[in-house]
Amino acid sequence: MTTGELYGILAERGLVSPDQPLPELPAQTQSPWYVQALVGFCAWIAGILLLVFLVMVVMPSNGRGDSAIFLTVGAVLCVVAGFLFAKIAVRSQFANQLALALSFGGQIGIAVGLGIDGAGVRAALWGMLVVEIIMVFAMRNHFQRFLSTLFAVVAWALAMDELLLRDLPGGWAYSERFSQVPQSPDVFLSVALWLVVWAPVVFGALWLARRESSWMADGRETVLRPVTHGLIASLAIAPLALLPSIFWIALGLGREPSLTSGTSGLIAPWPLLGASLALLGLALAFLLRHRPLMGLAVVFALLEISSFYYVLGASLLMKSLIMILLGAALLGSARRLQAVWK
Amino acid sequence: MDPEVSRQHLGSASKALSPAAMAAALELSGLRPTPDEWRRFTLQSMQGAGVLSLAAGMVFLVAFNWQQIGLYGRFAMVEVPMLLALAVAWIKGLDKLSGKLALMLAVMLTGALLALFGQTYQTGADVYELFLGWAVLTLPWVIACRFSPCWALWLLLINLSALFYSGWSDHIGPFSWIFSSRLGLTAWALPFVLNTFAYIGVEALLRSKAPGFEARWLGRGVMTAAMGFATTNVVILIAELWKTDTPKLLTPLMFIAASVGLFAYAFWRRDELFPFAVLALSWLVATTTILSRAMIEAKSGIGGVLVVAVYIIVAAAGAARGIAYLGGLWKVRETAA
Repeated sequence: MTTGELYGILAERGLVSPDQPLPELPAQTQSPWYVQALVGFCAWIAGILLLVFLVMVVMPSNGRGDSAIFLTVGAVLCVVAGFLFAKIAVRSQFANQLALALSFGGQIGIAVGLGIDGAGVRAALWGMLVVEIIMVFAMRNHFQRFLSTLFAVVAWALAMDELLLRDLPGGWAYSERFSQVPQSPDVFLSVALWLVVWAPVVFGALWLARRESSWMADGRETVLRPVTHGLIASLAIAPLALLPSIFWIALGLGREPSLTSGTSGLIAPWPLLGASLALLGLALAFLLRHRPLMGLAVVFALLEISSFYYVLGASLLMKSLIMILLGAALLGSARRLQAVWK
Repeated sequence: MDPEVSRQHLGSASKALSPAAMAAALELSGLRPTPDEWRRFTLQSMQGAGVLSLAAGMVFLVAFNWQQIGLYGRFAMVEVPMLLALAVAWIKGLDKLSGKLALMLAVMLTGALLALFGQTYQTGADVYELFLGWAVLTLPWVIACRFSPCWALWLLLINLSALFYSGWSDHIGPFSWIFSSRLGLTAWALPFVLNTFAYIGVEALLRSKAPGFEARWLGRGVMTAAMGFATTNVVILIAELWKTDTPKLLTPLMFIAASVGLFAYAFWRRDELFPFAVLALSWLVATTTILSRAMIEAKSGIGGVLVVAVYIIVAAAGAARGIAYLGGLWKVRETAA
């Protein structure tokens, strides 16, 4: 449907004035998703290198890095990036790329600065949640806002994991505190803890996707579009990345040797719950007709199912029965729905 | 003539439309799914997820290695669902999604059956033989299925087979003399060559509108895999992670030939920008590795870190600008992040 036809119908329905001028098609200001992925990957590497360079330059000659250096360098980089995004990046691809690199470097600097001193990893995670939320509003760049939303959800989920389970991915387990969580599978507690982490994210994504027309009409497209896409992407990506250490240890990627203790029983259903989040992401991406996000959701749903194979806390027989029953239920329900809808 | 309505279009008209008008505009212009589309999406998602769940469940069951069940029982456990899947595919027909999914389930269960065979009779076969056998045996079904996800699964099997085989290429196998360090090639050369040919095949079938090859993501995935393996080959050689006494010309030549070929083809087609993004990333990674090595050899210290960072920023910005220029020139519009 063309804009002329659309405005004609809207005028017939009395939703716009018949003499309202048609909006002009804006030039494509946002690059395709794969160019943004290319730019983001390069900015990530360049940002880390810039941070290393700057920290080495300002570090005292005794070579001792402290949090003040990282925090200062990180904050300065973020402020410069914000300025570049606001003033120059719209006109210059180089400034845009530089701003993205500075912003990544700055965020990593702040995270390290918060993490290496005092409260450590907990301060870094909660601090980064706040920083990323500020970045969403402060950085006038679609891709940066998208990534900041994704990082904010990652920071939120990691912080909650650490708070609830004293446990983080990648083998950063606090083994001495494992005894605080139940040793045996407890499905209700497991689902409740998982919901505490993910319910707010699900609610946010649903609310934004459903109220798209409202915020578009209010002129909040530039902020809420990338936030909505970031939340949908995080529904697909974040649950897998955040499986606690026991999963990564089982894959040989962790450092805690004891597999029998800890959270294994508690997190056993999480990959399946994660797959359901990815499917919700798929549905929301379909609602917005966003094919790259749909593809992302499908890929991560498959990875979640694969990770269910490796997660500890339930036998392979139990897992196979769950999957076969789930498959049969889905196919049976689809058949029933098909009959009803006919 | 007016252009088609897009979200970007309506976004630019914000504040000119009330929330009710915007909601109506989104629905009228087809930017939101209709109830019929929702029903189809729901059914397809449930069927797809159901088939994948069943296949995963069967694989988990084989992996459990249930010793309490007798030999015939264990084989029946996989073969009966496989025959049922084939029967459903036969009854529903391969023009319907349910038929295609049923045949795809049979393709997946073939792998479970081969694994069970190896587990039961301890055949001593290498892992690559499992995947190769799986791919070869199921090829007729995959062809009959005419379904992009089924082809994606088959290509994944071929890739896994090639990757596992490459680990053995210096020792055994009919292609050992080609894909080994004797010609200065790394273990990633075989997957690169396979994916390059696969990309040519997929593209040819896509352009001839062959059933099952309508989706552009399949060709994009294979192209990314081919260039990914080619880039890995080059990076391994530049960083000297692969020790060989033979001349190292073949790998860079293959990388350059693949890049030139892909560039020329995409430039000739003028209908998508994705290949240029893949090429840009490949060359950025390769040249950054060369620069980093030069900085390390020149003992440039911390200054070298800055040089590499600036190079990455400038090169990535240049690549993005170049792709945007081509997009404007060819009027290619793609979804943003």
